[in-house]
Amino acid sequence: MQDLIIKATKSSPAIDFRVAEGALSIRGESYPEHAVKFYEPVLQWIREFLETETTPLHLTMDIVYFNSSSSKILMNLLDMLEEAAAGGRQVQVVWRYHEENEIAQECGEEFKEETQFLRFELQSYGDA
Amino acid sequence: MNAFALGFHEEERVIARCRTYLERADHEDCCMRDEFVFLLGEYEKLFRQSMRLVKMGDRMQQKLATLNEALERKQEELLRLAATDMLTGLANRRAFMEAAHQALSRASRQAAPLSLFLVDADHFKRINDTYGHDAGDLVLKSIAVMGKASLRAEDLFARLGGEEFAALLPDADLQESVGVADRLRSNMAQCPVAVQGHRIGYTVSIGVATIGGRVDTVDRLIKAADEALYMAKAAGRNQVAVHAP
Repeated sequence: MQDLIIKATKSSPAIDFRVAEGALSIRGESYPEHAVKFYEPVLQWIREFLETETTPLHLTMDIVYFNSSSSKILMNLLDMLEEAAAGGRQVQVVWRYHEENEIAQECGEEFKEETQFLRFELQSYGDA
Repeated sequence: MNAFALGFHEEERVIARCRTYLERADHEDCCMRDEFVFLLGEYEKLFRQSMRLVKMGDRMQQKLATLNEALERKQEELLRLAATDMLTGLANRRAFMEAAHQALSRASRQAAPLSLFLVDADHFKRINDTYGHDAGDLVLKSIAVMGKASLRAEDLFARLGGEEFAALLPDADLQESVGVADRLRSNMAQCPVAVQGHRIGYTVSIGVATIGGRVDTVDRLIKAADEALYMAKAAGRNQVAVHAP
């Protein structure tokens, strides 16, 4: 299995998934024209990782702005991770947001409320 | 989360009906009961998620609207700055030319008079050379304040560049404009600017022109006023000259 690296664009986030460390990150803005198409390889990679690897999974998300289709896909992604966690897999999700971005914080809280088995942590950061 | 507040009444109704059927099915020993329970659970989850997504979408929309408002304000500010002379806060040449074109078409439509005069500080280089550029800037600011104060609300006083200013007077004929211009000239000659203990006196020369005859475009009107200004300078400065229509 290979790492998945996708560079950020103005409307799509940077994807950085490392197999060896089980470290995944999604950072940036997310309002691609075709959200389903953009996230297809992302979801596929995670699905494969959960099936073939046994290492814990650590996902960091820092998404400043996202559109509705992206939020639906992120919800599906969390469902997938939640199912894995319910099955005994060690899964941690860190939702990062700028301390002044109240909306990103609220959205993180909404996502967190949908999870039960995986560890979901909200983490704020400043300008430094 | 309140489904009713978010407008998801139908979904709540479907769930309530399912629960009723399920209760009934308990008594009747329905064979599909487990599938039914599972599907209801899934539906409830998806419904809950949908409400969250709608909430998030709304918040993002709000954020965009807020950013958009800030952007619009910024744009207005930029437009204002693009039309403003930074030193004096007066309209700049661009804004003056635009206003002059609008005033001219209105004057032509209504067959109303329109006058314009150019104000130029006399021997301005000497002020700069003797007292420094900061003093020169104070003189320019003083001209701006006095020029603006001497005009009516519908008039426009602008800085065209350097030590050259211009006044646009809609509905004013030549005689009225000369009156305004001469009052302005005389006030300026009597009001020295105080700079670090010095009282710097200055004078201005003014050229007045009005529309009529061959003077029928903004360019010609400005050229006419410029010719008059040249005459005022040639005749010894600190005076108002008129372009003969």
